[in-house]
Amino acid sequence: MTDTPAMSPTETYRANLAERRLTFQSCRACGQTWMPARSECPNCLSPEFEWCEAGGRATIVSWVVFHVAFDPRYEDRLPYNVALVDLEEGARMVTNIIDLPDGEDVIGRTVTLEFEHDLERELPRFRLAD
Amino acid sequence: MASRAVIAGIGQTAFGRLPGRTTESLNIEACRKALEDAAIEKDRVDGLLVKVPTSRVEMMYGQKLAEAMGMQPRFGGVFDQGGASNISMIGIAAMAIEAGQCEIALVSLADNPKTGSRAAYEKPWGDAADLGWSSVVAGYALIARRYLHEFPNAEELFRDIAIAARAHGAENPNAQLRKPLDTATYEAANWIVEPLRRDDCCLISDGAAAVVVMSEARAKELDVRAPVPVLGIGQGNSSSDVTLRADLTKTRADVSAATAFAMAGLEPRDMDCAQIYDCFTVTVAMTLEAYGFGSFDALHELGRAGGFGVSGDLPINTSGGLLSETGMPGMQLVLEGVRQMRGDSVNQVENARKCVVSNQGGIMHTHSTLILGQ
Ligand SMILES: [Zn+2]
Repeated sequence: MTDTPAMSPTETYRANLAERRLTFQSCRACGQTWMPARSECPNCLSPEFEWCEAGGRATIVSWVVFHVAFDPRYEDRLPYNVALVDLEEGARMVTNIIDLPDGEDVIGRTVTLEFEHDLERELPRFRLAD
Repeated sequence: MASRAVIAGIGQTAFGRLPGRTTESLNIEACRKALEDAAIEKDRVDGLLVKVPTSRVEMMYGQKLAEAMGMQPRFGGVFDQGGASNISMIGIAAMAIEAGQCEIALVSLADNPKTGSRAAYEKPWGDAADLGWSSVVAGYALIARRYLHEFPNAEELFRDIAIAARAHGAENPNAQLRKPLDTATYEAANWIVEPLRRDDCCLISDGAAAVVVMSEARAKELDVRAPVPVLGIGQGNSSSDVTLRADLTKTRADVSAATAFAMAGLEPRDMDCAQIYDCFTVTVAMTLEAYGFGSFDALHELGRAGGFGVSGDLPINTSGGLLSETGMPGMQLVLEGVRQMRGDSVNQVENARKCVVSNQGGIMHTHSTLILGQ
């Protein structure tokens, strides 16, 4: 018998990303879905959850464009964007929009998931669908 | 409350770059001056409430400060709500005094991110850090973008809020930034995190400010020169991370204000001026709306008509606020509210009798409201 230590929800999320699978948690007791990873349902506080894979469609809630790099790894990528998207399945996440058009209000636009190998990880980014 | 609390004294340090000073040293200077202002001896103080500095978070900071001040307070410690802590602690002090837990409390804030660490403002956030997600300003930019989506000409309101604060700061000899702002300069300034420009963002400052809180009856007994009654206090906490907030342009500021106005038995229209936490211009726009000072359109019109100036219909941030006086998170706004009620502000609003002060913390995680009046 091997006694493998259980992975934390964050570790499971990261391991799934490494396999290019974007996942969120869903409560077995009340059906609430959420990101980022945590060990109890923020709605009913139950510790019973399951992992679900996102279909990859989402809607933009808001976005910003960095003109200052607080993170030195992004210094040579300025200006770069960070966006907030609602997955079709309900959970919300922070991401980047690939090829974001300049000077357009993209709130409410549909985006689709596109993994990029970057910073030695598989990063979940999105692209405008229409 | 059965017996009203008053702010009996105020004290502050210089604001700006203060090299070589610890936050304990800054707190002590502000407390010493607040006690001098109230003409109260240190030994009478039996409550000490303090906000932990963002530049260096450490455990038992309240006790460390008490030790440095040679105090063993009956009631005291740190309360952490970020920038909302100041007004919340004044409320806690008032309630503690009413409940017989202490009689005279010092409430103080010091920070030194200008010469010390500003990591708290620039840090990367959670699992999204690898996507470049970092800094407090970016969190506010996310809110501002959504606000601009709802109100496409909000940029003009942001600009008018910044121009008013900078005009007031220019007249304030204690202000860190005394350079007035005009439309052309505002529009020409660099983006920090779009849609927030340089002049939408507060200063980074070293400094401290403190107040002495006691009951109105005690202030009378001690013959305090210029006590300013606390008419209302309130809190409201959005709590969730900005990225998870269901509606990015709604916070619990409305709950905080409703609690404070109900306690005071007053309404927004009774206020002669407002000191509104202005870490970013969008915060002021949202707070004024949440407090009931008017719809976006009404505020937009007010800004265009110069209504936020000292002789306007709604004078705001009359000492310059975080955008001009000091970026220190919030206590300076309480001090300016007290000065307005005493009638000795450098930008005195004529016949000012009532003032509302807002504090908030994090990325609109926390909010607290104070109503002062004569
Ligand atoms: Zn649940």
